[in-house]
Amino acid sequence: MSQVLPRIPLITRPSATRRGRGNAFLQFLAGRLIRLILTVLTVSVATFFLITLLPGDPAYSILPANEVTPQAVARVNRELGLNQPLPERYWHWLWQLAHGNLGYSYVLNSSVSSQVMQHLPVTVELIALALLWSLILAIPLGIIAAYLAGRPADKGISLVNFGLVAVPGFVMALVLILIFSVHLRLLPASGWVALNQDPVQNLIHMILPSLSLALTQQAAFSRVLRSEMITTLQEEYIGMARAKGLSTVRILLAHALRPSSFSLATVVGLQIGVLISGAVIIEQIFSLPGIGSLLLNAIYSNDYPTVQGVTVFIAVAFVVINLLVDVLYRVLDPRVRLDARD
Amino acid sequence: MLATEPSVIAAEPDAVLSATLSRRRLGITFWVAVAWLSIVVLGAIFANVLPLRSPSAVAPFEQLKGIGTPGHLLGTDDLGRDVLARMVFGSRVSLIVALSSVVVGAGVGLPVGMAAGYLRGRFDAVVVFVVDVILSFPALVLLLALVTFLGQSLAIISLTLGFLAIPAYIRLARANTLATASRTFVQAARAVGESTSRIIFHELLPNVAAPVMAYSFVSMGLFIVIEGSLSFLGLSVEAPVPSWGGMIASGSNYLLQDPQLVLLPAIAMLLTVLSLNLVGDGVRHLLDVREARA
Amino acid sequence: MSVGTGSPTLPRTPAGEAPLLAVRDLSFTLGAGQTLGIVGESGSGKSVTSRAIINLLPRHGTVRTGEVFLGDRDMLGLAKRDLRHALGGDVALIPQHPKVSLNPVMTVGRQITETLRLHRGMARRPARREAADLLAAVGIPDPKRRLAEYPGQMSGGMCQRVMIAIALAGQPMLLIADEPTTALDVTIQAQILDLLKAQQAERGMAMILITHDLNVAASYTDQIAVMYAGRFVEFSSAREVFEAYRMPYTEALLDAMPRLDSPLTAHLAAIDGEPPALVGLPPGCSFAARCRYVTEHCTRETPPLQAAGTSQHLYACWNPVRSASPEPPTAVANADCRH
Repeated sequence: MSQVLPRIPLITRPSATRRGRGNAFLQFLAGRLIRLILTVLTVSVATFFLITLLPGDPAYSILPANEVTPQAVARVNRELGLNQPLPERYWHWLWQLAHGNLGYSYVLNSSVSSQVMQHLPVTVELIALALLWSLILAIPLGIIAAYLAGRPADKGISLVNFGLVAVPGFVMALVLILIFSVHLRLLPASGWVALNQDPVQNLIHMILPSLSLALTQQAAFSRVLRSEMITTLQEEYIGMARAKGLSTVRILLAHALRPSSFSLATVVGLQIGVLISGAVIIEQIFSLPGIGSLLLNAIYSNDYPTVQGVTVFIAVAFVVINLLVDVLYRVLDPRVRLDARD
Repeated sequence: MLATEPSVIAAEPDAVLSATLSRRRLGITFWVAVAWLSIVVLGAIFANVLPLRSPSAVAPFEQLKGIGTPGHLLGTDDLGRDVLARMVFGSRVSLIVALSSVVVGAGVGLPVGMAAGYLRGRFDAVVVFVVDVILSFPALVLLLALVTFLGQSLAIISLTLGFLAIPAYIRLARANTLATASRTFVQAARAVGESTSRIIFHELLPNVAAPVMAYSFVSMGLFIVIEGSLSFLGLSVEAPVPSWGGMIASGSNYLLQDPQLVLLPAIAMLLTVLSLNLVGDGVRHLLDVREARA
Repeated sequence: MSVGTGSPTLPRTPAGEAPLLAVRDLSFTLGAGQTLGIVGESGSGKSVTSRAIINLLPRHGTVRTGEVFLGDRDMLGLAKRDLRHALGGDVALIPQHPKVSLNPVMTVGRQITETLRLHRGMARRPARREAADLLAAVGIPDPKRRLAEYPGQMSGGMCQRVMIAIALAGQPMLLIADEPTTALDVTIQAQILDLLKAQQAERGMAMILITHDLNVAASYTDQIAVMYAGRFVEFSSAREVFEAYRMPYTEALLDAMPRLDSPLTAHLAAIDGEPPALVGLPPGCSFAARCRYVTEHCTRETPPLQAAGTSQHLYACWNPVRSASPEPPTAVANADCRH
C-alpha cells in the first residue's frame, strides 16, 4: 500500500505520449457511442409510436383487406402484443429490434428484415456511386476554382453550381432521362440488373441514377472545397513549396488538397442524410429495387409494419454512419489527432 | 432534401454573388429574383380572380395541346387541363408549405435558440443534444413515415416540415446569440444593469433576427423542393389539387412527345428556389454591409 | 553568384499610382564558401530582396530589371521549368518561420524525400535513408523515428533544423537564410547559426544571411550589405562595416546595440522616427528624416552608391561618417535622448 507519487515530466506536452493520445481518442469514442445509443433509443421510441397513430385497431390497418378475419386479427394482436400496456409493448419492440427483427409484413408475407437485406445492396451501391461521382466532379472543380479564384473560370463554375443547388433530385433525374434516354438513346431510363449477373449492365443502369444525385451534391462539395482551398493556398508552407521548386500541379494535389479536405469531409458526412433521402426518390424514378422503393411501395400499399421497420432501419443506419464519419474524420486529420482536447 | 447544416451550405458567402452585388447596393440579379417571387406570390394569392381557366376542368378533347394553343397559353396536360392555371394554383401548395414551415421552424427555433445561447448552462446542453439527435435523422424518410401514419394533408406536411426545420433554426439562432452576447455592447448593457428581457429584445434580437431572416428565404427554397418531392411521389396533397411536383410526376409519362409538361413546372420550381436563394443571399449581404459599416 | 545592377520592384499599389519600390540598385558578387549578410530593420526590403534574387516574387505586378547569375544562369531570365529546377536544387531558401513553413499534414520525412526525389532523382528507399542521414547531419537525435513525425510534434528549433535538412537535400550552391533564427529562442539561435556555418564549410556553399541583428552579422558573415528603404546603402567586408563604417544609418544601428560594458543606467539609444513606407518615396536620401548629419542636399538628391577610394567599400551618403576610428564610439553613454 505504498503511495506512489505520479512522475511529472519536466516538459509536459499533452499529446506527446502514445497513451495520452489514445486516451483522448477513447474518451471521444465513448462520448459518441453514448450519443449513438441515446439517439437510437429516441428513434426507436418515435417510430414505435408511429403505429399508435393509426386510427382504430392497428390490426385492421396492418392486415390486407382480404385477410381480415377474427383469427388473423387475434394473431396480429398477439404477435405485436397490442393487448399489452404501452411500456411492455415498447420493451417488446425494442427487444425485437435488438435482435434484428424489424417486424413482419402481412402484405409481402415476409419479415421486414429479410426484405431490407434483399433491397439494401442496391441502395448502398447507388449511394456509393453517387458519392464517387460527386467527388470525381467536385474535387477537380473545387481545385480549379480555388486556383483561379476571381477569374472567369471560377465565376463560371460558381455560377453553375449556384444554379445546380436549387435543382431537386427528381428534376435532375428527369432532365437526364430526357437527354440521355429519350433523345440520345444512350442510357436506359429504368430497370436494374444485378451486379453478380452482369456487372457491366448493372453499372450502365446505375449511371443516370447516380449522376442525378451526384450533380447536385458536387455543387455543395466543390463550393466548400474551393473556399477552404483558397485559404490554404495563402499559407506559408505553400509559398515554401514553391521555393522548393515544386510544380503547380504537385503543390495543388500533394500539398494543398489534403489540408483543405477536412471541411469537405465534414460536408460529405452531413450530406449522406441528403443522399439517403434523395435515393428514395431516385429509386422510384428509375425503378431500382432498393430500400427506397421498398419504403415507398410499402407506403402505397399501406404496409405499415414495413414502413415502420424500414424507417427505423434507415434512421439507425444513418446515425451509425454519422458516427463512423466522425471517427474517420478524427483519424484522418493529424492536427486533430495530436490534440489531446476533444 | 433537407440540407442539415445551414451554416455550411446555405450561408456560404458566394463568390458569384459577391461579384454581382456591389458593396452597398444590391445587383440586378437580386431585383429580378424579387420580381419573380412577387409574381409567384401575387399569382398564388389572386389566382381566383385572375383570368385563368379552371385548373381542374377536365377537357377530353383538348388533351396534350402544346404551348401557345389559343386559349391555353402553356398548353394542356394529359387530361386536357390548362397547364398555366395548374401552375398558378399549384404554386399555392408550394408557397403555403414553405411559408408555414418557416413560421413554425423560426417561431419555435428562434426563441429556443436565443434562450439556449443566452442562458447557457444545463438548458443549453440539453437543447444542443436534442438538436443533434433530431438533425441526425434523414428528413425525407421521417417525413414519409409521418405522412404515412398521419395522413396526407397540407397541415400535417407543413407542421412536420416545420418541426424538422426547428433544429436548424435553433442552431442558427443559438450561434448568433452566442456571437452577439460576447460583444462589447451587450456586456456594456449588462454592466449598466439592463434587464434581461430588455437585453434580449433590444440588443440581441436585432442581431440574431437578421441572419435568421436571411436563412428563412433559403430554407423556404428547401421546403419547396421537399414538398415538390413529396407531391412528385403522390404523397402530398391529394388530387385534384394541383401541385408542381404532381404535375411533374404525371408529366413524366410524356417525356418524349411533350416534355414541356415536365419542364414548365420544373422551371417554375427552379426559378422560385433560385430566387429565394438569391434573395436570401442578398439580404445577408445587405446585413453584412450594415455590420461592416456600423 | 553575381547580382547585376537593376531595380526589381514590388507589385503596384491598389491605386495603381506610385510603384512600391521594394528593392533598388543592388549589385554584388558572392563566391563559394562566402557569406553575405544583409542587415536592416523590418520593412527595409530584406526578404523581398532574397525572393527577388531567386525570382520567387509573384508574377504579375512585378517588374524586374537586371540579372542575377547563379553560376552561369540568369535566374531572372530562366524559363519556368528551369527555374523550378533551380529552386530547391541549386539554390535553397531557409525561411523565417519554420513551423508554418512546413506542411502540417505531411510527415517530415516525406517533405525531405520530396526534394531528394525531385532534385536528385532518388528512388524511395535510398531517399529515406538519405533523409535520415540529413536529419542526423543537422543534429536531430533519433532521425529514423522523426521521419514519420509531423511538424506539429516538433519544437521551433527542431523545425528549423528540418528546414535546413530540406535545403541541404537539394545540394545547393547557394543558401538563402532569411532571418533563420529570429523566431527561435535565443538559446537555440547560436546552435542553428553554427550548424549553418558548419554545413556551409563542409559543402562549400555560398550563403546569404538576412538578419536584423548586427551581432549575428558580425559573427557569421564575410561581407555585409546594409539595407535601408529598399536600397543597399553600405556594402563592405564585415570588419570594415563594424570598424570603418561610413553611413550614418550604420552608425546609428551600431549605437543602438546595447553593450555589456556600458554603465547600468545608460539610456539605450534608438533611432528616431520610423522606416519610410515603400510607396511613393520622396526624392533624396530615404534616411534624411532621421539622420543626424542631414543637410539640404540630402533631401534634394538621392546619394548614389559609391566606393570609398579604391576599396571595395560602397556607401551612399553625401555626408559619410569620416572618422574611420578603430573603435566604435561609446555613444551609448552620451547618446542624446530625443524622444
